[in-house]
This record gives sequence, C-alpha cells and structure tokens, in this order.
Amino acid sequence: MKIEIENRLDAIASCLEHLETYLKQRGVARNMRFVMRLCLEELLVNTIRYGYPAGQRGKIRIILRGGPALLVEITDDAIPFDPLREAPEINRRAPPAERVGGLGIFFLRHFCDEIRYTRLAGGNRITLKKHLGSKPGMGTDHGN
Amino acid sequence: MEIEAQWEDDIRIIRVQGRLDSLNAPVLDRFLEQIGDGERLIFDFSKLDYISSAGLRVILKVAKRLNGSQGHLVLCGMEDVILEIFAVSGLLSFLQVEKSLSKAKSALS
Repeated sequence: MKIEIENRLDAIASCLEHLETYLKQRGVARNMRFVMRLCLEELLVNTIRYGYPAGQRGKIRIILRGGPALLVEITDDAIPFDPLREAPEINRRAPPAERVGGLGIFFLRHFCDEIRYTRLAGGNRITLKKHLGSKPGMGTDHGN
Repeated sequence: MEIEAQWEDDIRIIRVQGRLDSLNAPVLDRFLEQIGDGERLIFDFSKLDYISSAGLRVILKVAKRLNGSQGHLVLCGMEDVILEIFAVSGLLSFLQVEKSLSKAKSALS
C-alpha cells in the first residue's frame, strides 16, 4: 500500500487509519497494530515538526509491505536527518522533563526489529521492520 | 478521544476514552489547566485504547505540577500494552499506578 501525505500534522490521522486498516485486513493482532501505529505516528510527527523550515511544503510517502514481517518505508523531502545517529540519547534515569523529548525514537528502537536510515538526494528514507509473529514488545531494548 | 471528569468527595476522577495521540493531546492539555495545585486526581485509563509520546507528555506535565504542590496523582485501569508504553518510557518510577479505580481511590484516602 502506498500513501502520500503533505507535511501537516493533521494529515497524519488518515495515514494511521490506512495502516490500521491494512493490518486489520491481514489479521494482525491489536497489540501489534498498537505498536506499529505508535512507531509510525512518532516518526511522522518528528519529521513534520522538525524536518521542514517554517512554511515549507513537503511530501511524505509511506509504503507498507506485508509478509512474515511488516515493512514500513517512509520517504520524505525534509532536511537531511538520521534519527538513529543524530537524535539525542534519552537517559531514563534523568528527571522526566529532560527525557520526554526523545521518546519517539526511543519507542522505535524498542518496538521495531530493524530500523534503517538512507540519506537521499533531497530527502531521507527510514525503513522499519517488524516481525508480525513476534510479541509486540519484547520488554528489552534492542540497543541499536 | 473523550474526556469525562467527576468528583468523588475531594478526589477528581478523569476518564480518558479512545486514543490519546499527537493530534488530540493538546485538547487534554487544555482540559487539565483547570486542575488546581495540591489536588488529588485519578486518571482512569480503563477505556484508553492508545497513547503516544504526546499523550505521555501531557500526563507527565500534570504529574509534575501536582507533585510540586503537595497534590497526588494516581493512574489506574491501564491494559498491559499501555502499561508497557509507560514502562518503556521510564515514567513508572515517577507515577503511581494502581490496577483498578477502587484501588486508586484507596491509595488516595
């Protein structure tokens, strides 16, 4: 499934509904749909909020591919940013006010089996992989 | 998302239903502006289906305000996957969580 949205926060809802429908049609369990929705929401919010200079219009393409693993590919035309290398590490022992900023990428690391970043000419691509047969959350940090 | 609030004695109980995400977290944030310093507050999350970091931030904000003003906040009724989101984020060490509304009320009385 291919979805294209503009870089507006209110465009995220329809994209998340598409993901929900896509996963429901494949019989994916609710908890798994929950964590995949969470990962996609966090990534899109970060891209839209921080990836574009104020007032600049942009396009974000989301491709969903099913199989034993779900692949979610998000391609944007935002400023170059590799969240895996450049997002601040969050320190869970720090006071909460200092930690919540980096929670989105932290969730991605926790819940996805694989995250890949590719810098493109004029954009970024993130690919998330989640084995649908696994437990939604492993209770461990994958540490990547 | 739907928000319902009621008082039981001097405890305010807020039920959040549905999804609490980046789109509607500001609505809850504005709703919570009415919470006074020093209040005793319960969030009943038994009908909460989903939460993302934007929602966590709003909960944390009111928790900090109540902690800093001799108030008391208890969360209750969360299903396992929502509890895991709180756990993964490390917020459980700052927030009091009870299984049920009745336990949350006992914790405050």
